Amino acid sequence: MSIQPLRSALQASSFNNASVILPAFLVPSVFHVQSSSFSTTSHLEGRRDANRNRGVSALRRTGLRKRQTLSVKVEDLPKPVLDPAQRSKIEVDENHALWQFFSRDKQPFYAVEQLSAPGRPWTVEELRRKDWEDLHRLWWVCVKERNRLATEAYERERVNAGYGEYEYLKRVVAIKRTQRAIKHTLTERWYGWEEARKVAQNDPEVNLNAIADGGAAYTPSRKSKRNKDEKPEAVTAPDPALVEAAVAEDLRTHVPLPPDQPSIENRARA
Amino acid sequence: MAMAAAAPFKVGMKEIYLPNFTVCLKHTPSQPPTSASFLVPLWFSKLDLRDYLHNVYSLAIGPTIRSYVQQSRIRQGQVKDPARPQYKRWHRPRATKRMTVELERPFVWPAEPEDFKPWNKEENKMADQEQSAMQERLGGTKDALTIPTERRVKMREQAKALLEGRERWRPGGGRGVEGIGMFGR
Repeated sequence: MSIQPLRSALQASSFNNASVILPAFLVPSVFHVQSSSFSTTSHLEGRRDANRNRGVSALRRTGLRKRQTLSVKVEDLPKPVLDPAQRSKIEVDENHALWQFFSRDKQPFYAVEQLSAPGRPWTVEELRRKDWEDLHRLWWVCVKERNRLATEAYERERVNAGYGEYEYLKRVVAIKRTQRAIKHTLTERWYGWEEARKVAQNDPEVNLNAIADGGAAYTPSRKSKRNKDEKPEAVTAPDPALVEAAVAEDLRTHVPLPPDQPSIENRARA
Repeated sequence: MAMAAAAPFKVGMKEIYLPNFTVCLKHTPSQPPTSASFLVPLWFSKLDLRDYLHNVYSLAIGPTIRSYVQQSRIRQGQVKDPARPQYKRWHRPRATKRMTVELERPFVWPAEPEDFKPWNKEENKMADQEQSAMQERLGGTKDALTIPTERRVKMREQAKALLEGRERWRPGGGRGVEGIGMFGR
């Protein structure tokens, strides 16, 4: 039974008459009326608290006034349904945000083969080619994967399933290495930028306040070492054959991923 | 990655680009499906969790978040981050913080697998039971001595036999070179 139509009905009715809108956690009680009370002692026979003034404070002026009546009687309060088999079945939205804490197949914890599937961490060499947007995206993919792994590890331990702890730790190490490589790349870039900035401070050709002044950031002087007759090389698109050769060389030197195992980066995008 | 919609709450000024912590979703079968519990870092606040769930998971939650800190019990064992590594040091591990949120749409955890064979649950359980039984026989590592029941019964029988004269006490317990029988206990 879906809860959404009921909530919209409740909200719609609230505009017409002053009916009470049930909080979300009380909605399941509307669907199910318990046939028998969960306690065998009836309320009259039940022992009451010996201290009638429990919770009553004169300083804080708590407690009921004399002859004050409440709108709800104790017998009328909704009773909890303790037997899980008797509770109403709830349909979970397929696109619920909490599914992001689970693996793609929506199982409570990973199979051991999934955890030990080969997926090596990104190397600094590979990450140097990526821009900030990609690195930032990859970082968050790693964060979400670690959340996913923590969720499944906690559930596996709670249920005492058995194997999986060792593989889980290996996986966490691999993801942490990727994150470390990302930070390494960013640190390298920052140091490169810092060194360049220091050099640029003493360089007459560079104007560091160009944005504020409205001038040009770089004005090459005529006394530069380049020969006057020499024309600067035009930047053209690289030869596709050369690019392919470079990529093939790259793949040859690095350990290739198996074709059916997505890399850490692709898993979240797909 | 989809950009998060405008937050239904007031967002802070601090922008965090590369966080390094884990938020774990707990399975709480005793709680209703309209609530979700998380294990969060100890320094986390309710506002942090609200912001995190909105921006990272686009999860719509109710207005209230409940949190509590669970203190760990003191235990012996290898300390995770020791200043001086010692094999068996009495210590209290770090406390854990749990937060419960109310969900707009209910969420029920997927059912457990019927067969735990891929994770080898049966054999691990048997191995654990055997190990704990063996440790009990050896006497355990607690400060207080607890003598197992079967040993006590045997000692009672031995004492009765000695008092009734059926057995005679001998120095060394009958063992020669190995020494007095404390090994069997």
